[in-house]
Amino acid sequence: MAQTEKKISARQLFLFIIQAQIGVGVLSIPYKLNETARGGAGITVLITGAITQLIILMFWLLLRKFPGLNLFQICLRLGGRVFGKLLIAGYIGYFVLLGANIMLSAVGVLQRWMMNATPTWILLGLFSIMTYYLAKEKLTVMARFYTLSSALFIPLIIFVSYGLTQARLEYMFPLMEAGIWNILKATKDTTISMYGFEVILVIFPFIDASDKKKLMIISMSNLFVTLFYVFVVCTCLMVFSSEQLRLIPEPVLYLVKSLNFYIVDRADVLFLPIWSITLVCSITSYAYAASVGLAQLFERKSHGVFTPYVNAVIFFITLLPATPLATRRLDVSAEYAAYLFIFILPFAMVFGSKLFKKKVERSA
Amino acid sequence: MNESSQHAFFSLEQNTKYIQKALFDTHDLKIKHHPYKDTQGALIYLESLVDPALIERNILAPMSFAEGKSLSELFTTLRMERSNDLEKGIQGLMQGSCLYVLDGDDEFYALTTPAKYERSITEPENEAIVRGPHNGFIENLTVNLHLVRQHIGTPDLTVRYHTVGNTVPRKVAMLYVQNLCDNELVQKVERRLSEISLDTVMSTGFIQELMEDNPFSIFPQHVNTERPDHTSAYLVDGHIALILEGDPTALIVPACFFTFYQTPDDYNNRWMIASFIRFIRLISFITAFQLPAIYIATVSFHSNVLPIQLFFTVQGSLTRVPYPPIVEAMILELIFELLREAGLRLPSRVGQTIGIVGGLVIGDAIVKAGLVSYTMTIVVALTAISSFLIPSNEMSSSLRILRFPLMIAAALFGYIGIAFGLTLLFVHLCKLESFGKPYFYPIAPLKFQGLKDTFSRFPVWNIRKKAQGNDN
Repeated sequence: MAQTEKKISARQLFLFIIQAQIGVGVLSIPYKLNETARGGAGITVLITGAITQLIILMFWLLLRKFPGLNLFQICLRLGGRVFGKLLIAGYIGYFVLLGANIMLSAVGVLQRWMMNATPTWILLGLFSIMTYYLAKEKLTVMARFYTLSSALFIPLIIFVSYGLTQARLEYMFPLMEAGIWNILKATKDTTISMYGFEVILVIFPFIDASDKKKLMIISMSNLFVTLFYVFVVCTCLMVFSSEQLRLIPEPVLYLVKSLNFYIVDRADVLFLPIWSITLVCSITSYAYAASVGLAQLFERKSHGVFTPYVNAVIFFITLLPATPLATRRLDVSAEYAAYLFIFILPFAMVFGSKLFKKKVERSA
Repeated sequence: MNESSQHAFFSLEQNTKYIQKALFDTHDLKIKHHPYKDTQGALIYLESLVDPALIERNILAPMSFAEGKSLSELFTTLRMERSNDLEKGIQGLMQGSCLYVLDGDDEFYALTTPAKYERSITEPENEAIVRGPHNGFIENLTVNLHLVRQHIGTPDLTVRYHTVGNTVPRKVAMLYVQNLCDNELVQKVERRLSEISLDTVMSTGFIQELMEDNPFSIFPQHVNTERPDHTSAYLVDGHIALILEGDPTALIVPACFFTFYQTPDDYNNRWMIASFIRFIRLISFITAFQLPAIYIATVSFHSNVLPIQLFFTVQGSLTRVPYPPIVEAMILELIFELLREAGLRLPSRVGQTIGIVGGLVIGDAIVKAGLVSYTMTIVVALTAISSFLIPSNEMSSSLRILRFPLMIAAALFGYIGIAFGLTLLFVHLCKLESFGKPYFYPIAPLKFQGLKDTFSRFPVWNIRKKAQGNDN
């Protein structure tokens, strides 16, 4: 049969980006923000969302300049054969690193909360198999699955919003307790939870919509994610006092755990498996992006051949850190890699493409 | 297929010899010498395939009052042919014709006198419905086509015959409604039919396996039904039906997952009731393969999920059992499968005995003996009942098998194991396609218009014509 890569629809794109963005970070941002931004945590998240929006706009400017090309092809176009391939390799490394980072944090949380006795490598293996099975498929299949698993947001949101029954508004105030400077500075802690939107760099040409509409949809997803985070952060801030929060690294889970649903106790045990499917989607996006990059690097048509290698590499990277300190190091390196590959390089590319006026062909 | 031809001889004896030899002197070949006027002649037929009454009435009786009329005028069978190709004649014999051969004539008469011993049209037992037409397909292709044509009385309904099988060719009819069916789909089905190269095609199951998109999937990719009204409904919906000669089943392609959850009864009930039943079926889909896994995961790893009173009940019932829950579940599930299979092959009177032995004796004794717990018995029984709620027998079997790997995953990794298993399952469902149509439509790709007739059944005026999904 003819293997024509079909395009995904606008609605699928919306959920695709959401699934890619919502990750492991959401569980711990209230804790992190409580340290820095205090009551202003919600504002911090909003600001982060705005920054993300600016980056998305930058991506869009870059991508629309090269209609039909994805990030890797743009790299080749701008950087030439040698430097372009170097750039692609860098991006592949970045995607693998971020995928590995999410997977490691996810497994860490699972082990802390429900699978204390299970060896790490088994959980990592399970995640690797799941992501491999999904990432080797065509983009349309992934989009279908992401749409399907978006239904899982409903129980997740219900779980969290049930916490509002115990909320006390005064815990959150005063909003500006930490001062505006600290609130701004705290955005550094939340940006990592926003990552995932960079997959648009890879899937942008495979969306069935006009450039303007694509931007709008991606912005909508970003808005949704930002508001979702604000909601989660504010709920946690209202349920727990600042002193309590200081002791709870994963307040969202703690919140869900403390709720009484009558039919089930310990809703966190139900929350985690559901949420881990959302995480699989996030990791898969990165694994897919890396495989597409490899396919571009070796000039093959199908990315599926490379997915096993990508997943094997992610698996082995996640096996490496044996101590919490090493895990932390991976986290930090992912953060800095993100600054380079999401902020600096794309900016340089936009700038470069403007400067050299290379192939200015506008699409409809 | 035998494509050779043999010109008939002038001598009667040579002709009969040739036919006898060609059929390897089979004993049901009858050669009845019957002169016409003064010429020697013989009536040749296979007694197992012809209707003696027809021969009596339409051939022998007219011949005895010949009175100078020519043979062509005499024979009153439905079809009569003059031919001089013996091989063609033999083909005719195989289809229930009878040949009249005259001495000194190299042309013989082929007269159609086929016997029709066929079952009357009854309601298919495994697809009984409460309201609606109560007829079903039988083992005769012509009758089956007739039944479909009765439902769809438009010239758009097209029938294309194909032959499958190399040594024993059999006829397959491909039915579709011209303007409603995708042309690409028709070509795809035709191509796959023509690519079938087997010596014999015993049943529709063969066609099914040779044509499906993904032979390694556990899910059925053809709908099969014995109901003409069901078939017609699909045809009008733009599907293609394949009916094999001698088989009362129609294969319908493309299939999608949720068609296995719908019955014709849904459209005969009031829409709210139908929606409620669909909802129950949806729950049964979930329990049919997940309930044992969830139970195993809960009692082995996550008993803290249970409210405290329930926890004590379950724990109290479990303490008497020496095995881990997975062993317990496997024992009961296997016993259940055993009973099911035994009940399937037995006549209904003995079947009741199996029900009593299985349900009462084993069910009660196994708990008293301390092999399994009461709660596990409840879980397995519920699972079994849920699997019977699924209208399609094939889908129900698929789900029954699926619960075993899921149970093992649950026993190994608890809820995460279930999440793992379900992820793989749903990814598989998302990528599965039946003749180029996504299998999990309208869930993946999501189409709200399609959803109206999936989990619930909206009123017919609201569903209207189903949207053709171009979405991915």
